[in-house]
Amino acid sequence: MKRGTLVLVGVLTLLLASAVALAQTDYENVDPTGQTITFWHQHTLDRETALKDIVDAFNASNPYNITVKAEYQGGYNDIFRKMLPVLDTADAPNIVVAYQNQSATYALGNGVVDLRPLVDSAKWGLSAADKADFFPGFFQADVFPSFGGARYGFPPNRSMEVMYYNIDWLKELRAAGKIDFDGPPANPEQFQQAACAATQSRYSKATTSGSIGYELSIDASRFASWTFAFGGNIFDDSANRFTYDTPAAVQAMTFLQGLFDQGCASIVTENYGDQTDFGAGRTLFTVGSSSGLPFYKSAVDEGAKFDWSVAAIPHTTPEPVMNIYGASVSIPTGHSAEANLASWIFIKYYTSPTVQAQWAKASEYFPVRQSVAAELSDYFDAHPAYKTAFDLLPYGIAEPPVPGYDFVRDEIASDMAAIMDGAPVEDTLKTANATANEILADQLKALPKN
Amino acid sequence: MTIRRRPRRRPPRRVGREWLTGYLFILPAVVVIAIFGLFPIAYAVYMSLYSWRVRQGAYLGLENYARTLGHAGGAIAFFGGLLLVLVAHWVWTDAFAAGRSEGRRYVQAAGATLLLASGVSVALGWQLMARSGDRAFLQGLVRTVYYGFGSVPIQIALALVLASLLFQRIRGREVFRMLYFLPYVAPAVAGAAVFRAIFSPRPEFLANTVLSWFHIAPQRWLFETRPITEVLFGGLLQHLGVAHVTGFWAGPSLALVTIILFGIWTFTGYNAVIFLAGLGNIPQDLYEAAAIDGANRVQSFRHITVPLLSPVTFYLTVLGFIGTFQAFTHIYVMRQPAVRDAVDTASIVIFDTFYKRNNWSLAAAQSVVLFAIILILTLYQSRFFGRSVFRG
Amino acid sequence: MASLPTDGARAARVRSGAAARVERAGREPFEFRLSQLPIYFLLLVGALISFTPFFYMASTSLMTLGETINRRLLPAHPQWINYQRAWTEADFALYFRNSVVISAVVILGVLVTCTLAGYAFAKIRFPGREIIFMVLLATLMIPSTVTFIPNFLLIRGDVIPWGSWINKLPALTVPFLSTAFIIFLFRQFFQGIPDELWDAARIDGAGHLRFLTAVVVPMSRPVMMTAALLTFVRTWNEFLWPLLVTTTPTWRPLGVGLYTFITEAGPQTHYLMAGAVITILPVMVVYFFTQRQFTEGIATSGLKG
Repeated sequence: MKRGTLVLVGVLTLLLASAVALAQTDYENVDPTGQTITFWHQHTLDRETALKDIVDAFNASNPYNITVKAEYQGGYNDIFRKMLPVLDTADAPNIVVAYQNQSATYALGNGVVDLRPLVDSAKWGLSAADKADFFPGFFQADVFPSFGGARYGFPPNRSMEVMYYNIDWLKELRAAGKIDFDGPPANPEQFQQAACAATQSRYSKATTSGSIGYELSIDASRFASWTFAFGGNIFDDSANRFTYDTPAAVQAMTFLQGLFDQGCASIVTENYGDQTDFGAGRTLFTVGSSSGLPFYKSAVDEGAKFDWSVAAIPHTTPEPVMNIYGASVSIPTGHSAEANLASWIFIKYYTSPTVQAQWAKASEYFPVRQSVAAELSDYFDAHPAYKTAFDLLPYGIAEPPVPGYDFVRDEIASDMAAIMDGAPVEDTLKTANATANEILADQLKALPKN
Repeated sequence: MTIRRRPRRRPPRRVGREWLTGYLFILPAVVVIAIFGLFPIAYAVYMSLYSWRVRQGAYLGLENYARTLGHAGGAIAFFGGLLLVLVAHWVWTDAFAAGRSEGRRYVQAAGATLLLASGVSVALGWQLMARSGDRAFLQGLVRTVYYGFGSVPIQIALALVLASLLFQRIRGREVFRMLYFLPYVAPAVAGAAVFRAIFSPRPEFLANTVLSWFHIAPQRWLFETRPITEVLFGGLLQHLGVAHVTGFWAGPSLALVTIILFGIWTFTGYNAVIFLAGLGNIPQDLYEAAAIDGANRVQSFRHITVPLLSPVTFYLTVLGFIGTFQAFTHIYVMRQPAVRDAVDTASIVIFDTFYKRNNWSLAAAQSVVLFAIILILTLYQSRFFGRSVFRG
Repeated sequence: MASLPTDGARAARVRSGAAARVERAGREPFEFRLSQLPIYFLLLVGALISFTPFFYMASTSLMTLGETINRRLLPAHPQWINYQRAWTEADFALYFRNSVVISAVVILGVLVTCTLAGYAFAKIRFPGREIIFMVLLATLMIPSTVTFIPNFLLIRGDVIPWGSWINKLPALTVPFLSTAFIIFLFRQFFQGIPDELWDAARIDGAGHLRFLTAVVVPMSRPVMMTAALLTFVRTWNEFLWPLLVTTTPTWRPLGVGLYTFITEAGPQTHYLMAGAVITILPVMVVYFFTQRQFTEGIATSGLKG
């Protein structure tokens, strides 16, 4: 393509984009009738079946004769790869599952629709009561500070980082006088006490040799969770920059490093090796996604068979602060206003309380609305650990929705590994934070200017 | 099918027709490969000249290359040095071809000097580049060299031995052949999952159990970032008063070595299958004649099998290096976050630059650099070994 | 079997040599000799190394989820139902058929285009031969990360206006109809065919095409079978590209099915392994029953020099 043509196309795109921006308020008069909507997702097995049921019900019942076609397109990363070449073209799907940093990348290519006009539309949007029904952390997670507060996604489900703990083992430790509290540790001191005690005194029913208090999996989300629990954050929304070197982060990492120095914690040395060791009664604590609940259940049921549950990450803050995450659904550009509206109508249906209850039960994710609790009581009875975690959802906050976050995550995971190997915390985090902000600045250079 | 004899005489000038036949024969392949092989390369080169993050941006010229390679003089010295090796070799062999003439010694001396100069140039150029270039990518290149040179020679040597054993008249060879081919057939995700289990850091798992038979302490395998020299000879080195070997000669991390083992496990059977096809082409009479002359098995292997298989060996070496220098899947499915960048070869860095840093043009420039290195390596091989095996 | 040009005495020798070999292979019983003991030992050790991972795979495929998470070596009770579930959940029946069709088309294409090209590069002299060959080979040297976008544009018909191939068979086959991998392989083998045979054929009035089909191809059965096999395995296990160029299951192959079992919370390792076994078995069966074809061509190169 010639340079001139490119410039021309660029200018036209900008004009078009601003025209769309101006026309955004006009969803009131758009007619979604008869649209066919494609929905790219990553769900397989039981979740795919459940999603299909939801889609079928929507197709049969919606008054606009909208037809949704849900299509499996591989895992999150596969979907991301598939999206890149079709951004802002008619080949893009109408709805796509995307993590926040992925939709931020799409936004770099003008590839995703700002949902604010739809969510706030008087005719099609959500009422104030509806909005308030969403868990605030969930609702806020898809608002992108780097893009002027645009909303590039909407949450149909979430997971949360929780602490898994072995109830029976804790009781044993308590009975032996090795710890001085009941129930799960509420703060880092108790966590440390129990972790070190467990390292010393093996769980009586353990099915393997060895014993350790806490198995830490190296991951940027673990970093975020512990920093949240120490009252900090890894990102400053108002300044639009990473804050990996704040006192809370330093304290959190110093605390974990201390556990390693004392021999009370070790690094998970296999994919999901912490689940294995938890199930075998080898480790007292692990921290990980709530989406692991069914896997932990299988691990324990066919392992050391003990009583276990989940709890908030031990925190120094008065209330727990929990790390919630999960992919949202976004509406890619490249389609008519009618199609976008139809997509939103489906998303609205998908996130309505009754459907959310159905989806939560089948998918084992958390629903995004507080009122769903009423419809889940049977499920709560059958899955007490899920219920415990559910009660923590109001305390959830999210990791930052910025482009390039995957790359930052790799850097942070590296630095975290280095700290657990004994690197000085403050210096390491200072460098890490500088790198993270460089990466972010580098990403934002590509921000569309309109 | 019978070929009928035709008394018709051929036209005196058949050269033109011969050419035409040649071009027609390669046409279908060239069309397909030009479209789906060459066009993407041209596109990558085009991309590398712009700022291109998800959307095409401003024309940048060689800036992405400067970012990748750092010091321009360093890059020129490095790549110039690599090419100079070819010139040196040409001078050297040309001197041999010149035969008994008086000048031969001088030409050879010139060749040797050139070789020396190229070595110095490559080393100096690399140092300059390492100081100012893209650190992750250049370190990735070093690991790529480890990966390629650690995998290919072993794969091929093992495969050659294996194929000649499997070609023997032995019981159950069909079953053996099938077993050895299994690893290549296994999908990489499944193979990787299994390999991770075998090389688990847990002491009771297979690899560590085998080590324990030899009274060796359990290893952390994929999670071990220490270089292999330290893992193997750490005690010895400390004994000698050397705390750490660092830099290139410290070798790859044990994690990367484990991945190399995974590669060898996968591709040895693949190479053996191709060797078997080559063995099928060696006439048995040769072995019989050698046996009559009193040659034993090993001698026949050395003097008949190895030389007659050399076109196949050449093929496998060239493609082995092309494959390992851009190996992706086998490394990607085995890399663990806890080892930081210890196993990130150039192709992994390129992937991250593209999908995680969203910098498509920088990834394209990195790819073109890797492409150039692979190309030079291939030219070496055809220059050094190709000639003797190309012509039967 | 093709009857070869009968002029040269050498050609006759080729034929009798081949006949003799076939006869030997057919009649001579395998004999066990003590001197072969080390060979068996080596082969068994190697076979163990090759087979162990497959054993893990098969064993894991029969476990429960809990057993896989607990990293057991053997299942307490083999869960044969895993296979049934893997088969139905991932729509393996459809994927299986697709894989067969795709592989067949690709193998056919590769054999035709690469035989012709490999022969030309080995036996026909024309200007630019070495350069063109090197350029073709160079297409194998660029990391696929950066070629994926341009390849996608091609498939969508943006570059050459043949319409969009997304979700259609050509997207999965046409780009693979020829590859420098196999051209190079064929060139290496065809170069070993003695020129005397070509001279004899030419005196008989045969052109290159006839010589290729009547003499070279039958003589090169091992390498052609090998090329077919390697192409087959490669196509059979392909995953990423098919997923990128399909949005519906219509033409998705087996490799895509396997990925169904890697979920975000953790892989469903037991199903994954069951799927892997389902994927591998047909290849092994095909290989087992055709393997004589891979090594026993008609002896030829004895004519050298």
